[in-house]
Amino acid sequence: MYLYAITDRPETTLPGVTGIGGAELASLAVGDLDVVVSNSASIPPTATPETLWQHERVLEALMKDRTVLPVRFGTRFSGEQAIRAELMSRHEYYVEALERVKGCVEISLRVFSREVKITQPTVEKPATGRDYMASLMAKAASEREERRRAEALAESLINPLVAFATDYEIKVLPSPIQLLNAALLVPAERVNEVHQVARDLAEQYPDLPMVCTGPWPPYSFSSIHSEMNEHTGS
Amino acid sequence: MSDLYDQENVTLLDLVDRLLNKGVVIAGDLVISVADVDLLFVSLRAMVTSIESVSEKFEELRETGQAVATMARVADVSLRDNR
Repeated sequence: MYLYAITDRPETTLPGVTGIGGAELASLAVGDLDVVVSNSASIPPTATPETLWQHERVLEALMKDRTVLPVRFGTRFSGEQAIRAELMSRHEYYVEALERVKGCVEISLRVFSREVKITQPTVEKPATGRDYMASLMAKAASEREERRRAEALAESLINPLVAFATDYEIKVLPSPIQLLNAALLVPAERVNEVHQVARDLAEQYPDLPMVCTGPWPPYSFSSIHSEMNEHTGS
Repeated sequence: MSDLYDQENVTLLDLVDRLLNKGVVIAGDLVISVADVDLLFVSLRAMVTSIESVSEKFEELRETGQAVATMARVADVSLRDNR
């Protein structure tokens, strides 16, 4: 069985979309929780843009009348009994995780930059051990300064958006061409306001290419004990 | 070449990043194989380094059959390629 999501409201009728490979969706109710699965013959699924979008479409359809915890793409169980055992053994955990994301969606903001990056200062070949150590210290100081400036800029960029978020995850300089990668958990009814603030930011910083995507299902906030939380300045 | 920063490319990048790296991890059998490497890599390469250097490196990797493994590492996917 292939898993899409853990949801609340098991009494709700499943949406009329199909799963990966056109498979029919099925519901496995365990008390007040529900697991949405398909008996896809084409498992294990291959990650292509089409299969990823199909997984996403199932989640989006479910979110219309349920709270959804997205399950990692590619997760399958040997059968109904194994799924029920998993949900029963961690029932409180899933209830708490659902409560955390209830009524919320995820918005992503990526800010790209070719200018803001960790650069290595040019140094002459050191003549002595002391010069070598001095060059290492200069390099480290330069990197610290670059990061400090990047973090200050990232903070000023993201603060107007964080004001809408019930939770957030921010990575500064996650790669050499990205200044900022942020995931924001925001109430669904405030998405239009968030998009407007993102558009205003793009106008305010024309030299920083930035792209806002979403609303997404709350992928980045589906685990209570997230290892990914890296809040800036906290 | 399309702009890496355009809405469509970044949306695909966000989709790949979220579905393969996030979401609830439960004690099932997680099996992912990856196809359409070229298409996915167009977006994923934005996460690593500049376009030009990665494009050159990717061509080398394709010739030596390492492209899938490299992409999985970029996406931080625990890949068990069953093909």
